[in-house]
Order: sequence, then C-alpha cells, then structure tokens
Amino acid sequence: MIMRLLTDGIGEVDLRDIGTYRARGGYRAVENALRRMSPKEVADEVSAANLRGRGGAGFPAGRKWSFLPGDGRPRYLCVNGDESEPGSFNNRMLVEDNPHLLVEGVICSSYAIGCSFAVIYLRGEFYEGAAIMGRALEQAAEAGYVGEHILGSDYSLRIVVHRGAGAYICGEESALLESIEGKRGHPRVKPPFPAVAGLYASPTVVNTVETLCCVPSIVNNGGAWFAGIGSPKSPGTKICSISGHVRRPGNYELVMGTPLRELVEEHAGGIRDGHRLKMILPAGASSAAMTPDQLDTPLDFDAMAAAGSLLGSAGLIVCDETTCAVKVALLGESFYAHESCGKCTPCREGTKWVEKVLARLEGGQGRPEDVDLLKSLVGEIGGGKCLCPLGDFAVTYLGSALKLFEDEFVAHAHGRTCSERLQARPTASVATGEVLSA
Amino acid sequence: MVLDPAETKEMVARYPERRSVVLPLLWRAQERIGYISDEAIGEVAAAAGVPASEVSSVVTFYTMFRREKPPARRLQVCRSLSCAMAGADELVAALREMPGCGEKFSVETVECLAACDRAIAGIYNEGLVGPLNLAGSAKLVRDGGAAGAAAPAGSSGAGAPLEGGGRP
Ligand SMILES: Cc1cc2nc3c(=O)[nH]c(=O)nc-3n(C[C@H](O)[C@H](O)[C@H](O)COP(=O)(O)O)c2cc1C
Ligand code: SF4
Ligand code: FES
Repeated sequence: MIMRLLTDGIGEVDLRDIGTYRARGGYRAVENALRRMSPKEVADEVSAANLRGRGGAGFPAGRKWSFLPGDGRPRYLCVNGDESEPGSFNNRMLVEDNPHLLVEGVICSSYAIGCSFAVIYLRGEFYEGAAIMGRALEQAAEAGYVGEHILGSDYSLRIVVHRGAGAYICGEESALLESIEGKRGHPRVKPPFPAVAGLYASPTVVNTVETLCCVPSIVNNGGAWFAGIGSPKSPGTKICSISGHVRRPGNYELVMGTPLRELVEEHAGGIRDGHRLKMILPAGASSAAMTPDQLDTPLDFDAMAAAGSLLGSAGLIVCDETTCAVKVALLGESFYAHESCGKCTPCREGTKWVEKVLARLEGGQGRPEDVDLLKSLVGEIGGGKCLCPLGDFAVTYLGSALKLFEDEFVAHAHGRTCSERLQARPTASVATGEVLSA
Repeated sequence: MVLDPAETKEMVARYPERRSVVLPLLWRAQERIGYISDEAIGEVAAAAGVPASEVSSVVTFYTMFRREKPPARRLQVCRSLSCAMAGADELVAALREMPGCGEKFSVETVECLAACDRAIAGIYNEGLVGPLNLAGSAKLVRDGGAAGAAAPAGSSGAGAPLEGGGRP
C-alpha cells in the first residue's frame, strides 16, 4: 500500500522552497523538539518507533544513538548520501525534491544526540543535489533553524554539505568518515565502531538519508504512532526504487510489509509487454536473486531475509526472460572489481578473477570446469573474510544465480552464448546509423 | 594561483579540523580550471595542512578528479545493470564511432548514477541526463548545449512515477 510519509507533495509542489515546505507543516518537528522536548525525549521517541536503518542493514536507529559514550568529547552526525548501489535511487529523490525534510531530520537527530556539527555527505555525481541542499541550508539558517541559538534556545548546530568524488566504497560508514577527513575512502578496522571513535576519533552517528527523513514525523506524532505502521518488526514506510524491465520504473513509497507482487505488478505496471518475469534483484546488484514464485514475500527486513535475500535499501532491479543470468553476474562483478578499495586480497584479486572467468563464459569461450571454479571462488571471497562487506556483496548474486540458473552457466561453459543476451530496449534506436554521419 | 585565498580560508573554517577541506578544495580547483593541476595540489596541501603526496593519492583514488583538461563536451554513460539492460553498451559503441570522438568530445562509461528509472542515464558535463537514446546523445556530444532529446533527469516521485515512467 502506498503511504506518502516522506514523499508527500513531491511532484505536486516545490518543496525546495522553505515557504512551501513550512506551509505544509514543515519545521514543526524542530519547534516541537526544541521547545517542548528534551534531547533524551526525542531519542526515546525514536527508540519507541523502532526506526530501523534504511541504508541496508536495518539496525535500529535509537539503539545506535544509545551507544554514544558520554565522555565529554564532541559528538558528530554524518548523513550517508553516497547512494551508489546499482538499483537504488530513493535518496537522490529525497535530496533533490524534499531537501528540507532531510535538514529537519538532521536538526532533530543532532539535538537528540547532543551534536553541534553535522555533515551531509553526498556522492560527487549529485551535482544538482548538492546545490539544492546548499540552498535549503541557507534558507533554514535565515529562518533561524540552523546556526547559533536555534529558535532562541541554548542549542546551536552547524551543518555542512560534503561532496564525495566518485567511489562506491565511501558509502561504507567508516570509509565515509575517512572521506570526510580528507583521505582516501578505505574502510577502517572495526572495532572501534563509529559510535565510539568516528569522525576525528570522536563519537559519531552515521545514518542514511531516508532514516533521518523519518525522524520529523516521529517527533510530531510519537514513536508509538510510527511503530504502528506496517510490519510490527519493521515499522514505517520504505521508498522502493524499481527499475529494469517494468512498465513504470520509479520510486514508490510503500508501507513496510507490502507484498513484492503489489509493487511489481500494480505500481510499476508489471513486466514490459510480451515478456515475463525471470528474476528480481531486490537490494540492487549485491543481493540474491528472487524468482516469480517469491512474489508474495512482504517487503520488510525480516521477511526478505527469510526469503533468502535482502530488503537492503530497496533498489529493485527487475529482469524479464530475455536477461542472461551470466551477463548479469558479469556486470555486477565488473562493478565490484572496479569499486574494491584494494585493501583485502580476496576482494581485490578475487573480484578480478571472477570477472575474468565470467567474461570468458559470457563471450562463449567458457571451459567446462569454469562452473565449479566459480562455485569455489564464491566460497573463497564471501563469508565475511574481508574487512568490509563489499567482499560478500561481490559474490552474493553470483552465488544465488549459480544455484537458480546453473543450467545457463553450464551452457555457457560449453561454448554456448545466449541468443538474446541482455537485450537492448526495442525502443532504443541504437541500430539506426543516420545520425552518426550527419 | 588556482584557489582564491579568502574563499579557501572561509572553507577551512567550516570544519572542526582543517584536513577535511581536502575534497571541497579539490572540487573548487577543478571547477575553476577544469582539472587538478600540480599547482592546485600544492595549494590544497598547504591549506589542509597535509603533505602534497597525500593529496595526490587522494586525487587518484577518487574517479571524478581529473589530472588533465577534458574536452568541452563530455558524456559519461552509465553501464550498470538497469542501464545495460536498456542498451548502454550498444549506445556507447555507436557514439564512439562518431567522428570527433576523443578530440572534440569524449564518451566514457561510469557506474550506476542513482537514476536507474531513467535508463540509459548519463552525465553530460556536470548534469545528470536521461533517458538517453542514440539520436539525443549524438546531438548532445556533437552540438552540446541544452540536452535536447536527453531530458534532464529530475527525480521521479513516489506513489506515481511522476517523471520516472516517461519512457516510451
Ligand atoms: C560497501 C558498502 C557500501 C555501502 N553504501 C551505502 C550507501 O551508498 N548508502 C548508505 O546509506 N549506506 C551504505 N552502506 C551502509 C553504511 O555502511 C551504513 O550501514 C549506513 O549508512 C547506516 O545508516 P542506517 O543505519 O541509517 O541505515 C554501505 C555499506 C557497505 C559495506
Ligand atoms: S572488502 Fe574490498 S572494499 Fe572492503 S575493505 Fe576489503 S578490499 Fe576494500
Ligand atoms: S544502473 Fe544506470 S543509473 Fe543505475
């Protein structure tokens, strides 16, 4: 079921304008929090809401905040807007089309954790998003919501937009902190976790854009209200990004627990004409493939995990029967081989090796032993052997595809290629040569 | 001098620790001269209080920083899954056949741009574009200017894929 908690007004009015945003009740949460609630009360409501992190792992935000040691060191909040997992584009929409909601979420959350300096980290490719966010912060400062003595209170907060510069790994929270510190984006060894030693070795909370965008409505309506929406163990809404072979790709904000089928068939309009569903990668390129018989799985953290895959950040890629499972694996592996930061050997070397084997399979030069070779490589790279989860991400889809579509890998290993492979859209005029000579 | 000293000072002051200014200043340098020169690296290092060798290694780590001036028209096409499924490989191959590719304009591939609903998505100079087709992107790299057939990639809304479903 659609429920527009974070996306209300998008596409109808210009929420980038603070006047419009306020006229619809915007910044009421800042007023409620700062005028009527103590920081602890705000944090308690977020805990009561059981708001689970929308960046992938689903860790409860209230619990994460409670890990900050109270030892007098400054505390920081870093917003993860690196959004780079192939298939996810919900954070970009929030940043570009509802920037004040994020600012409001950052203010309420910073107040709750006692932080006076927050960083909104945006991937470098979000040129427009960074400009929009910068303007939103200026408007918020003019209106007295950001800066010294917010709304006449004792509370002060500075917020900066910090742009990445092209590196998927900076979405991993400790690599993100390195990047904010002006370094290469290499994940840190954990522990210590960011809550204990994060930005500038101080206690730090890292939450993703969508998580923080849930906070204003929790402040306004209470944690119990939020906890009552959707699945009891994964309450709230989730903005699902859906793309690939569906009629209406886009972002759809759904109540947690909405069946996958409703998203694919109703909201996204079903599979393109004349074709049928082959598989869905529900959490982008790094998730185990799901098949048509799993369409009744509820879209929430636990149900998707029980189904053998992941809700993750809900970047669903839908593939119809023309899609080659081997080619999908190759594209994914090239991505991870390219994005590996190079620190761990299994990830750095393994992804390149898998990519090479997949490339020869896909190109019809496969060898009969390649399927077994891939199976053993999945075991060698995955299973938490690396410093950060990217190593696991790199072989999750492959591992699932080797089980679900083994026959395709075997056929490729015997020198066959798919007749249709990954098809170009019939509408793309790629074959027409006339514009080239003009 | 690549950077404006007054602006640099103001940017350093935004952060609790100086070294955080490395990426913002590298961006500023690239905006001003189109790439990251040795001179820029020296200035960033001095402002951030870190060795120039460290700034260099940061520049090479992040793919969006360039060490050379790019052509005036630069198209980066997403090659990740949803865009590949929409024919990104074929589009790139066709564009690279066009006369002038490599000199007057460049066509590169990049990974997912978080605009998969607008597949084939791309970045033209510094703006997100998509959905790209051959006619539109050929015009873009040949004539530059407004994106023409390649509509700017706004976001799709939620509830109805407002602009997101705008594909034929
Ligand atoms: C390789 C890798 C890439 C990641 N990329 C992102 C990302 O682009 N955006 C994001 O929000 N979280 C990403 N994460 C998850 C973050 O590390 C972190 O868990 C998240 O930002 C926490 O926010 P949340 O608790 O609000 O979900 C990534 C994790 C890994 C291991
Ligand atoms: S698993 Fe890969 S990306 Fe993660 S730290 Fe190791 S080498 Fe870097
Ligand atoms: S796959 Fe191309 S923008 Fe995401």
